[in-house]
This record gives sequence, C-alpha cells and structure tokens, in this order.
Amino acid sequence: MSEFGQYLVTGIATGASFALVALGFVAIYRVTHVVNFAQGAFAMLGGYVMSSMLDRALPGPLAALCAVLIVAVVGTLIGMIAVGKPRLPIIASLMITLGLSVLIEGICLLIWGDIPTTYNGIGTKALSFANIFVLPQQVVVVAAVAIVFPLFQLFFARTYIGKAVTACALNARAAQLVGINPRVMAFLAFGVAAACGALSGVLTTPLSPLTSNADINIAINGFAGAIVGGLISPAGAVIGSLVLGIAQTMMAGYFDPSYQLVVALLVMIAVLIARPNGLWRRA
Amino acid sequence: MTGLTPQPPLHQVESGSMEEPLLDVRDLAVRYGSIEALRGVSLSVKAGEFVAIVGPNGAGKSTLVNTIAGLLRPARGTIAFAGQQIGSLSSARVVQRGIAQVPEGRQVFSDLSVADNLQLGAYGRYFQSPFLIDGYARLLGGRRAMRTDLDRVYALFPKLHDLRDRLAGTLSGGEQQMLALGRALMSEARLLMIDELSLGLAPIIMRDIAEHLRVLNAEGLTVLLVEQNVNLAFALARRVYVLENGRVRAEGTPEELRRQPEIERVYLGSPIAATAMEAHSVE
Ligand SMILES: Nc1ncnc2c1ncn2[C@@H]1O[C@H](COP(=O)(O)OP(=O)(O)O)[C@@H](O)[C@H]1O
Ligand SMILES: [Mg+2]
Repeated sequence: MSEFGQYLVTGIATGASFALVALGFVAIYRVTHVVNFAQGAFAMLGGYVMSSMLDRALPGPLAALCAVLIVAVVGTLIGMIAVGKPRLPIIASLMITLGLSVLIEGICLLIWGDIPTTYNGIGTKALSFANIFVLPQQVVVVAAVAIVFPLFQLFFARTYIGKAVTACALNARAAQLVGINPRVMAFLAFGVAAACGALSGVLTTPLSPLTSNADINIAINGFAGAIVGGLISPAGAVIGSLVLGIAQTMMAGYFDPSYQLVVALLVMIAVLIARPNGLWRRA
Repeated sequence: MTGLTPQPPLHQVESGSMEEPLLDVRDLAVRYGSIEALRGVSLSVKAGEFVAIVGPNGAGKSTLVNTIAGLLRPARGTIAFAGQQIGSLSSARVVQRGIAQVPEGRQVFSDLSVADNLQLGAYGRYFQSPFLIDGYARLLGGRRAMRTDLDRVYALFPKLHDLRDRLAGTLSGGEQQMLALGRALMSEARLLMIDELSLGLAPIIMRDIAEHLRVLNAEGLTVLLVEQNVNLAFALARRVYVLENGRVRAEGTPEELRRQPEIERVYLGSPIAATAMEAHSVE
C-alpha cells in the first residue's frame, strides 16, 4: 500500500514536470494551430542555461529567472521564424520548429558537451511522511505548476492582452478587424510557451540529468499530456500530464522502468485515435 | 481619444462637391488565385455620407470591404483614406487609421464575454504591438476613456449592458449583430463598413438596428453599408453603388436608380427585395 502511495506521489511530481511543457504546447497551438516541435528543446535549453548560470555563482532564484527569460527570448525568435511569414502553411511552420529544435540540440551539444549535465536542486535530503519519501525538488516542481497554471489561466482569461490572444485563437479574422495582429500574438505565445518549457527544464534537471537529446523525451511526454486536452485546454493539459506521470511511475515501479516512454506513446495514440480533439474539449 | 462618433470638421461638411472624399477607391482589382473577384472598381465616400453597396451573391461586395480593411491585397488600383494611401497597410494599421468593419456573419469572439468583445474593439487604439511598453501605458492611462466609450455603446444598445457577462456565442443573431456593431464603434472609427447588416435577422430587429445606424450617421459617422436587401439599402443610403460581377454596374441616389428600368427589373423586382418590402417603414 505504501508502495502505491510512493508511486502516486512520485508520479504527480513527474507529471507536474510534463505539465509545464504541455502548457507550452497549448499556448502555441491555440493561437497558431502549429504543434511546436521545439517545445522539448525549450525545456532542455532552460536546464542547460540554468547550469551555466549556477556555474557563474548566481543565486538559484536569480539564475532560474535569467534562464527562463533567456529561453523566452529564444522562443519568441523561434516563433518569428516559424510563423512570422504571412500565409505560411501550418505544415511549413511545423517543419521549421522541428528543424530549429535539431539546431538547438546541436548547439547544446557544442556548448555543454555530451556528458549528462545536472546541478543541485533545493536540498537533497528526502522528506518523509507515512513512509512515503519525497524530494524537496519534487515539491518545488508541483508547487511551480500550482502557481503557473492559475497564472496561465488568469493571463488568458483576465488580462487585456491575454484576451486579445484568446480572441485570435477564437477568430483570427475578426481579431484582425479590431487591430490585433495574429502573427505578433503568436510570437507572444511562443515566448510564453518557451518560458513554461524553460521552467520545467530548470526545475527538473536536478531530478534527471540532461543530455543533448533529452528534448525528444520531454516533448513526447508534454505532447501526450497536452493531447488529452485536445492541445487547446490548459486544464486538460495539466490533468493529462499528471495522469501520464502517475501511469509512467506505476509502470516503472510495478513492471519495468524501460517502458515509461511507451506509456506516453500509448496514451498519445489512444487519445488521437479515440478522441482526436481531446477528452476535454468544450463544445 | 474619447467620443465614439467624432464629428467631421465643419468645413468638410459644408464645402459641397469640391471636397476630397474620405474614402477614395480607384480601379481596384482583386483576385483569388485565378478568380477575378474585383475587376476595376472605383468608389468614393465623402465624410458624413451614408453609402450602400448592393449586388447579387458573389458580386464581390465582401471582397471589396475586406480589401479596404486590409485583409486582402489589391492586384491593381489604389485605396486612399483621408488623403493617404492605405492599400498596402495591414488590417491592424487600417483600423488605427479609423476604418472599422462589422464583418459578414458578425464574427463575434464566441468564447469571450460581451464586455470583453467590446473592450477588444478598442485594441487598435491602445496597442501597436504587445511587445512595446507604450500600449500598456496607454491602456492604464486610458481606463476612463475605455469606460466612457463602453458606457456609450451600452447607452446605444441597453440590451448589451444586460448581456455584458454572457458569452458572445450564446447570443441571438440580432444581439450578435448589435455586439459586432458596438465592437466596431469602440475603435472610434471615422468610417464604419458593415457587411450584410440584415442577413439572418428578423425584420423587427433589422429595423431596430437600422434605425441605430441612421442615428449614428446623423451624428457624423460615415457609413459604407453592404446589403443584399435592396429596399433596406435604398431606405438608408444617400448614394448606392450596384456591384455586379466585380464591376460597378450603376451608381446614384436611390431615386435615380429606381428610375433605371434595368436596375428596377434586376433588383427591385427580385425575390430578395420582395421579402423585405416592409423595410420601407424604416424611412
Ligand atoms: N476565399 C475565397 N477564395 C476563392 N474565391 C473566393 C473567395 N472568397 C470569395 N471568392 C469568390 O469571389 C467572388 C466574390 O465573392 P464575394 O466578395 O464574397 O461576393 P459577395 O460578398 O458580393 O457575395 C465570388 O465569385 C466568390 O466565389
Ligand atoms: Mg458577401
């Protein structure tokens, strides 16, 4: 029983790290209908930049802030390349994000090498209650989702600019007629998505060291979580990610750790076939 | 910044036929691939005027207003507004110059509230780009003006005030048309273009909205109305263009057009006109 509890807790922490990546997929897809293949690269880059900031003896929170901001700028630039040209077909944008993610992988390999990179998180001593162990860093990841998700919702539902982004997602043509430029809004979405991805990388690298091709796994897990919400529902993406994290941890604990990614792929394929618009989609 | 319906300067109103038109379209050609939707359309609208465009389905009416709005690029010809060329501007810039559109089929932001829809109508007055700080400053500083303009729209359409927290997608067709009109007015446009005012509206609602439009025009707003209901167009407009097959077929006051047997036969005897004879009572 406590074994189950342990897997559940670990699974939630794992899912929380997927959730941040999944929110990034949603932010971009809602506005552009582009599946951003570079979403995993944002997370990876976040972790690498964080490690370099810490090497320069920056205090943790400041280093994290810098890493998130730097990656947000990179993400915005990638958005400009991927969706900046008027009337570019979605498939072209999609291939551009794929190409750029490979480029980022290469750059990461050049700068940070192929030795797994990690750094210490917030304390390494596991906390325990009722025989269930949890690392402080895992608590931080869950707390980050608990903070970022409502902020994400508030941004899109309550702020003027957030509503303008939502308006683009609802009706790009009508948005243009009130003076909103959907392409510029898409750049903003790329920036927000990159920040979410980077935060995931920053917070989870202490739990699982980075390699220069880590972005693929990150992207698959995040995408599988987001697809549960049809790539448009932030709440669906978070819940999908948590369920996926729990399922993967259970799979690893009770069966075989090497099947973790298979779980993500199965979830993805099952949802895509059964409910291509997600389990969450309103109306 | 305030005042939804800025009065044109007096000299413009008084200077008769010598004045330069507010909107001057010359020899406009627009194509969709190999389809020539407009084949050299010239049209002008003076400040304060109420001009209608009528014509059968597929004549190119929507293409014309969408091109003026900057959604489509002309293949040939020029569009001047207030003495400046706007033919190559983006839709966002066109809105900022003072041209608003109520698009065909209303196109409200269905998942946003009525109040949000209206506030976004003013987007172009505040933001050039969400990446520039000046927009946020203007938004903060312009809160009172936004409130005032919102109240003006609510005064015009009290129904919208009652519905302000409802999602726009749940409104009836007539309510959505009011909302689309209110949203366009929030941009403080000098020229309001309406594509198919009466489409799908019950006669009583159509008359109500048409009456509002007449009042707005009397207060100084310049109106360019695309309307399939010829009787409604003739009742409201001072001058009418008949568009057919991408060309201007005829132009004149409603009285002049009524005297042309060809126009009389094709339009005023048409089933469209017959179903809406009661539109006369608008006058
Ligand atoms: N997006 C489009 N792609 C291709 N052809 C179009 C498109 N929109 C309109 N058309 C064509 O252009 C012509 C004019 O259409 P439109 O401007 O919508 O006419 P109206 O508004 O007068 O009904 C029609 O022949 C129509 O089929
Ligand atoms: Mg039309």
